[in-house]
Amino acid sequence: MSMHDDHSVEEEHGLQPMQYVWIGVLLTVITIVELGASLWVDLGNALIPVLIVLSAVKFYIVVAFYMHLRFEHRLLSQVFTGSFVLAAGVLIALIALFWTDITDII
Amino acid sequence: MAAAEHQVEHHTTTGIDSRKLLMWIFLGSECLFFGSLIATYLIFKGEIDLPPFPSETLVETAYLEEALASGEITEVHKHLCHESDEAGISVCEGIFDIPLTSQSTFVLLMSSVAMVLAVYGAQHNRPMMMKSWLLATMVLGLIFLGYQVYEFRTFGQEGLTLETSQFGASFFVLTGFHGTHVAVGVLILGSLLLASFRRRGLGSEPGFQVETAGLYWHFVDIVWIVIFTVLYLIPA
Repeated sequence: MSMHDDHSVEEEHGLQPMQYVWIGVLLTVITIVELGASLWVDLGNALIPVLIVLSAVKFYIVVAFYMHLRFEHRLLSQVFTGSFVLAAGVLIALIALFWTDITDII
Repeated sequence: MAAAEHQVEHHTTTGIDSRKLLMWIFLGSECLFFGSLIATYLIFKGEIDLPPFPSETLVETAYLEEALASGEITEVHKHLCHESDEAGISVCEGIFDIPLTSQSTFVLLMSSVAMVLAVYGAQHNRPMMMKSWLLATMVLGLIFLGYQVYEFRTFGQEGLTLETSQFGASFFVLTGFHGTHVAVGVLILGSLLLASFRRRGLGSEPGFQVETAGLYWHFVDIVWIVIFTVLYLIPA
């Protein structure tokens, strides 16, 4: 693909200002739902999974549409997704490691 | 022509601008940085057994009295707790003000909307649109920082500081580093805004410069999306 083609592809994929605004409205609505789930509705054991899913949706929307990763070269997606998965792995590993120790002490 | 040649210099065999690739690698490294801080916070959050607590918690009154006598907590911390209906059990109020933090979260989300509109303006040769939305993003970023300063001050008055506990230390380090990133973002946007008023404007690639600053700003926003859920919304 030539540079000219690359440039055209980039321009084609850009959203329009009103679409960005609507995405902002959607993010706000999801935040209100998160707040409602956390403060006003008793979801019991489902609360944490619901909050994580809603947070992941917001995360994806910002990365895909505001950071344009959805429309970028695949390599950039791989760099970011790879780093994110590695970070999530480190997070899970640290928690698993140290929470076990704390339980032992108690 | 000169500008076109300048652009060609930065493209690699992958077809990606090397500066953009570098930015994404940097953001990837930041994922690891914040991931470690969040893990540290979660570990220490599970360890606290004395006030101040992030959310409402029940504690044995005798245990609180003992901690007060031994100096593990102070009167400031003790005042967060009161006797419950159940004998021997105290209810300690949580110090997190979730409605307030929701407002600051909304402000940061709106700053992302403003930022993406600034990028649109820069990429579509609309300098006034770019400048207006850059300014709006900066103002919203500053408001977010104002919320954070207010929150930190309130927590300090309620007895949660860096030295209070490992929970306090991990909380302030995580949110403090995020706030520092917001402050750096505001400075970057300010410098772009100032540079845009020069006669040459932002040079041959205004779209690229604003887009790169936008990537950083949106990253700061997605980190907050995670922090807001993990720290504030998920109960202790």
